[in-house]
Amino acid sequence: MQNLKPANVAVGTKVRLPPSEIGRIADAVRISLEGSLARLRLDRVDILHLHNAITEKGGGSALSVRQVLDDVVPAFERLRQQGKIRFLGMTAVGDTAALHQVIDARVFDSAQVVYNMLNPSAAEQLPTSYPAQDYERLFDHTKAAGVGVVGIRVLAGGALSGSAERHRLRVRRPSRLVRL
Amino acid sequence: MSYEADIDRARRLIPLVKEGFAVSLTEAATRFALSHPAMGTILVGYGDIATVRGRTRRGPKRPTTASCARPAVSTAAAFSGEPR
Repeated sequence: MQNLKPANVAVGTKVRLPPSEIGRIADAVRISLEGSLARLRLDRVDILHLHNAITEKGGGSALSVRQVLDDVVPAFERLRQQGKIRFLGMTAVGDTAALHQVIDARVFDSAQVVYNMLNPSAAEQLPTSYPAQDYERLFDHTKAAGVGVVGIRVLAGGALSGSAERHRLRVRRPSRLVRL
Repeated sequence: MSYEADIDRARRLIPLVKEGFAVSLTEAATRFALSHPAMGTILVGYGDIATVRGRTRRGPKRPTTASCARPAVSTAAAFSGEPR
């Protein structure tokens, strides 16, 4: 980042809370962001995206709708007040109904949304028995709530890359990339 | 969701690419995602720095939604009923 000195670039980073940290969300979010900023050698980033799956009841590595709205959002807001982030982000993976609820709450500025040629359901109604999760026109909700969209899995994890081999980064931890 | 099943479905999209919709499946997929009006930006991970440099130098073209979405819609109907 220091060498590139990018102008007109929005820098984002993510936080995924492990199950062991879900009882202390505020501290875990703060410590994660501080680590990201140190690695990036920045004082602030533009967007912080929550990167846990979101379900109605939570459990495992997923967060519940209530945990996101009652614990994560206030923790993110505190970081915004401190000038460490500008925008609040989430990742729209998990249960479709839970994702709609969180977006409809109008507390996030940005959402990372799965959208690709094999699963266009964030934009359009799928035919019956379609072999993919139905996001039930999530873009209608992001638009109504004024939530910006960052497309993820646009190559379907490498399936749309034209190579039969799964993208190496998905199966092997990158050694030379800075984890943001 | 089975990655192998996704690979198989992706292969069946290749004729659309050859009809002139894009030069490669990757480009078609990238343009498909960028072409939706809801999309602000996309996150794509690449396997090596050379690919990153190549892609960022060219930058994806921004096509009309209609030219991108039409083939995918008809293909989506064809995938209906298949296992994940």
